[in-house]
Amino acid sequence: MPDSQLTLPLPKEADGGYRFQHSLVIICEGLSDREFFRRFIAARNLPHFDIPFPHDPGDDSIEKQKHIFGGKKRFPNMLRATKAADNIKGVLLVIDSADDPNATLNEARQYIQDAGDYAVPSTFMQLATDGDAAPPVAIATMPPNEPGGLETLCYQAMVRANGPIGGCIETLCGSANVNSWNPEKQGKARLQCMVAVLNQEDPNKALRYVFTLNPPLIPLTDSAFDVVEKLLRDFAQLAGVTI
Amino acid sequence: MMDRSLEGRLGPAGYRMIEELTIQNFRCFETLKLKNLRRINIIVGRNAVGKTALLEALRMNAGGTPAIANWLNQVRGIQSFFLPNMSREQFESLWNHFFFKRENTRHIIIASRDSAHFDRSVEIFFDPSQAITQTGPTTIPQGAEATAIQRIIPPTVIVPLVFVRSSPAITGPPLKATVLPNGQPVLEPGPELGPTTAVMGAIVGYQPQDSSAWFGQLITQNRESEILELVQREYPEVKALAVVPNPLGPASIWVTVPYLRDKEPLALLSAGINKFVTLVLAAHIYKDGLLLIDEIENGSYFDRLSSLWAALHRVTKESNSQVFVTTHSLECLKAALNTIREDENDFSLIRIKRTNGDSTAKQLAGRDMISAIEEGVEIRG
Repeated sequence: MPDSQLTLPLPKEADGGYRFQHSLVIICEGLSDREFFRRFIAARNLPHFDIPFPHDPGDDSIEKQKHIFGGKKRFPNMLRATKAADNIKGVLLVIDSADDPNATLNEARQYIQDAGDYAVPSTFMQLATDGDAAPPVAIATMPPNEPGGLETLCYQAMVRANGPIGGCIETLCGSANVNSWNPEKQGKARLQCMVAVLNQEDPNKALRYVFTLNPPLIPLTDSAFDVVEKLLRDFAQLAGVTI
Repeated sequence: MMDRSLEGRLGPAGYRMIEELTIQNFRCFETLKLKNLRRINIIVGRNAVGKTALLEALRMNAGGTPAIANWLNQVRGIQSFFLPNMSREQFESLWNHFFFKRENTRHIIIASRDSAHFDRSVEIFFDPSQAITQTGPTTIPQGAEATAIQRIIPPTVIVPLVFVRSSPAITGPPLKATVLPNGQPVLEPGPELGPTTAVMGAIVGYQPQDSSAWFGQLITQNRESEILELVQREYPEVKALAVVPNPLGPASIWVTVPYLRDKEPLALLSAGINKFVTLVLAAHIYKDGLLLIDEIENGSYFDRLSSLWAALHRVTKESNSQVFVTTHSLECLKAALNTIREDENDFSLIRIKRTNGDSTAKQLAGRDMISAIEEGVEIRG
């Protein structure tokens, strides 16, 4: 898929809207997550997923900016939209764990409830299903069942590949009182520092574009991401899709 | 005549909206079940999946007579004139295409349940137990000529097409499309099962005589301003509408516009305005009725589609009618968004898909339709 489509929440087809291609779907929070999963799945030879994320409707430039960022508050909208697809065996709703994965689980359960027609999973990675009106759905947090966000895992992987810089960033975060922040924001700060010092061409590179760099800045084959691979394989198995 | 015992179960206007529809063995539908139908039901899908066939099924459910089946043939452009002394094959070929995969030993069943939980159905099948033997014309020549005719037209057995009808309001024996022993074809007449139904085809159905008759009816009720206001909201250049008799043909609606000295026939002024006026009129006139509209987007400029939806919704709500409308156009669906947002429970989407000749449907509630369009998901199939 060409990177020119990065700014679109869903890759658009020439003849209209987006058609789901696969029986497995990951609904994530925004473009960064989508780009991560696309490249991660390719790097690890995992099954194909459709990976939409929610966005705000609108045509003016401010609204278009919102398209890029997506947002979990609109998960119910994306879940409702997904009911239009045929033959989906499972939808995995992926949401950053933030401070408390259990609180996030409940937040995700509420989004599913608000979407209507879906069965609501009671715990992580439970594929809940109820009738034909909506596809089966499961919830996963990132990192799986631990505080933080996608950036937490990315940072861990980059530290392993760039050890001495990681030490410097830890010193900086300690001095600047970043360590008192909540885990998700700490992860974002550390990752942003790492990206800035490793990418002289554009120290301000946003995560959604970091995944497009060649050579890659974030080693997706690092063991920090093994939990994500296990999660996706488990999900495919739950949905009855052979890998 | 409506059974008086039903009156207490009816809504204030007496009309019950179709909430469920079941189709068996009709055209491309072996089995189709639709639930949670709403005031405005938008039917989408690729070509040749059965969108128009679904409208036809609704028409047949509301009518339930051989004449409706014959009319559907005419609308489809299928040869529908009846020769005397048809062969069995000729007779059945008039009707076979109504049957799933043209397997005419099946029984077509089209059943609906309305918002008061009343059922209405029509079952259509060839009934061999009622077979008729045609013996030829009753007044045949005598002598050698008669012998010649008998050689040309041997006695033929015709199996009638039977329409078994069931409705809370109408009872009676089944109706038949058949032939008399003398070879004359017959479409047995009977009252329609109801409700009153208007069909606005993709090509046909926008006849000047229809709209002028409807508008004339509103004029006699002093309600013409209701239509004019709706039209002027979108087309302010329309200053007045009038029914003008035509000595050479049917009357039609003529329009006053500021840039023309004389009145102009509506159909000549603009196909889009003509369609807008006709739809709005139909929705007004078919109070408590059913409107079946094929390819609603045809003839309308894209920036008028929003107001077409808004007007359609407003008028059907006021007239307590129900609409089934097909469209191919994403632009048309997007144009409906604001109207759907105002009253999402009044809308549903029916997407038809055909696989190996059998059509099935997926339904989306109004709110899900909004979400799918907002998120850029293709809902047309």
